[in-house]
Amino acid sequence: MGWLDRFKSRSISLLVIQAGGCTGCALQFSMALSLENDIKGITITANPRHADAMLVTGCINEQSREEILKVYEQIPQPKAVIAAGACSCSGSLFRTADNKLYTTEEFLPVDAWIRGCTPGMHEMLEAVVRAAEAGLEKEESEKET
Amino acid sequence: MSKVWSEKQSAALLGKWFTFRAMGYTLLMIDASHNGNKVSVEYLLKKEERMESVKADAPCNSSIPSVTEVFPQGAQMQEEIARRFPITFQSEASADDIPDCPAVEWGPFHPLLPQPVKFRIRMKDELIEGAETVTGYNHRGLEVLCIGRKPEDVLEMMERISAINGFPFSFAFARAIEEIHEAQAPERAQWLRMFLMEMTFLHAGLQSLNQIARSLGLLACSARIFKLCGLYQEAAALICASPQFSGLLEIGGLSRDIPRETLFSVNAVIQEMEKELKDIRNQWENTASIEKRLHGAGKIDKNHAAMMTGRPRRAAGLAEDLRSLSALPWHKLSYTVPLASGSDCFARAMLMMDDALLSLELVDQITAALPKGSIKTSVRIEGSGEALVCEPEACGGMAVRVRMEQGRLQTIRIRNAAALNISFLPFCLQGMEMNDLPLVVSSFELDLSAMEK
Repeated sequence: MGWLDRFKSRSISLLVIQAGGCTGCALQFSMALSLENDIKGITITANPRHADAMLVTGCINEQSREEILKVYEQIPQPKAVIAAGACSCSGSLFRTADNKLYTTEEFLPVDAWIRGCTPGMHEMLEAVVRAAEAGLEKEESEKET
Repeated sequence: MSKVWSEKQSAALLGKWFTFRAMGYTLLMIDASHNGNKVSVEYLLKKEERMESVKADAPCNSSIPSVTEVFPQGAQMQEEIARRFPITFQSEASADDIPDCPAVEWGPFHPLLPQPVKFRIRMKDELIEGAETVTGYNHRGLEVLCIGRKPEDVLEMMERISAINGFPFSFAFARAIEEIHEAQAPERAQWLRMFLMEMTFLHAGLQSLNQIARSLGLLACSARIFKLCGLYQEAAALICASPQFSGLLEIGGLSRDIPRETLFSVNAVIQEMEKELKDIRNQWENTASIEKRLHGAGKIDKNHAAMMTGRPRRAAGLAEDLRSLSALPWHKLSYTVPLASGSDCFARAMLMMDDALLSLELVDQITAALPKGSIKTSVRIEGSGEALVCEPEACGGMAVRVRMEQGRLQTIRIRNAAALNISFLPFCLQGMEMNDLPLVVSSFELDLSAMEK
């Protein structure tokens, strides 16, 4: 079964964290959810306890990092983390050795990366589905053991 | 430990501010620099075309009077300076000082918040008694990062300052560099810049409108507005790969020409929005439940509105034509800036739609009257100097101050519309119900990315 077919059988509740920065990635993701007709079933939640996965966009400073960690702790297992956009994946233009900006993988276990400034709509949705799949597989293997 | 300025020094500074306010000046920007063991704070005041500056030199770790007593719009700028430089401002009472009211925190991450910001709210029964905004989640240290860099590299960063306002900020920066080098972009480049600015305003207006629709719970309407945003993306893709037009602007003009045929195609795509926008406007105006919810919500006092910029100001019936102050040839176009009365969320939402319709009209006019010619003047960037540029951005007026030394950036200070407007949000929230909070915040159109940099 392809990832798209498999995804169509269940919906994913996603918590979008716009950590800071230009907000282009978060806007692009909202557009993707509204305009991409192939994919339905990703729902946005405001409550971490209802979330299956967390999508982190933007530059992460110390203040944001603390809040993101608090939110992450509240998401029930199994959970997936997706880093979306150049800022979240690598710090983009803004990260230097001493300006205390973080990438998502420096403090969270990231399951999928969507690189680019700004990433494509379809790539974003595909990464969410792949991360959710990885979460499902993790859950299944845990049950088996 | 912070040292307080002497009473005489404080009184002198306050006296200068009061005098300028009485003369009709408003606060444009607060700049600061750190030299050795002292911090110089500079207050730039503006009255129409005239500019004045009030300076305060204070030793490090000292406390000077807060400008908010005279110019409340300076609260956010002052806070930014207090974070970056070793100086404090004698603050006024905050929401934390309200006794016997339970505190509720909302944010910093929520689908109804366009950007991360936290609200600390003191409630009395069902009503908001006091509110405080906690910012800093968007901070990237952009102003510090730019120091010592070449303007070309800074331009790339400015394009990414905000997803909805990247082009206006990079344009203002490019103009500042051009002003320092006494260069001017060719006429065609100026018209194309104007075209791209209008496209940006249109996009930002649609995004703000969508945010209001979502705050109202009008998901079907939000989907309709998203479709309009989709049309915008389709049109923008004809010009360049990035919907924010990254890489198109250059100091001295544009990096490449946009053919007339492309502009016609872009115009044809975005003009499809007009009917739908008018339909949404009629729907909001004539649906009792929407009107009732928006009317009276987030009312801004007229005195406060006079110190704000953009739609919150115009929604109070106060005229503000930021396009006429720009260096771009908007004066060659025929337009009337929409105004509204009521100063509430309804007036601001209606203005968003009117402004989007105005942008559509101006894009049409620009496409029809675009002059021929070159798109770039060569500028040898090696000069020194200082420039302060005031230009319109999608949510109001902005100011960018640049100092250069031998082709490298010495300092840059950016002040956007949100930096002025956010100071009045706590006043506006007082007496409101908690469930109106997302709606009021959306109607303020706070571009926090460009505010915190």
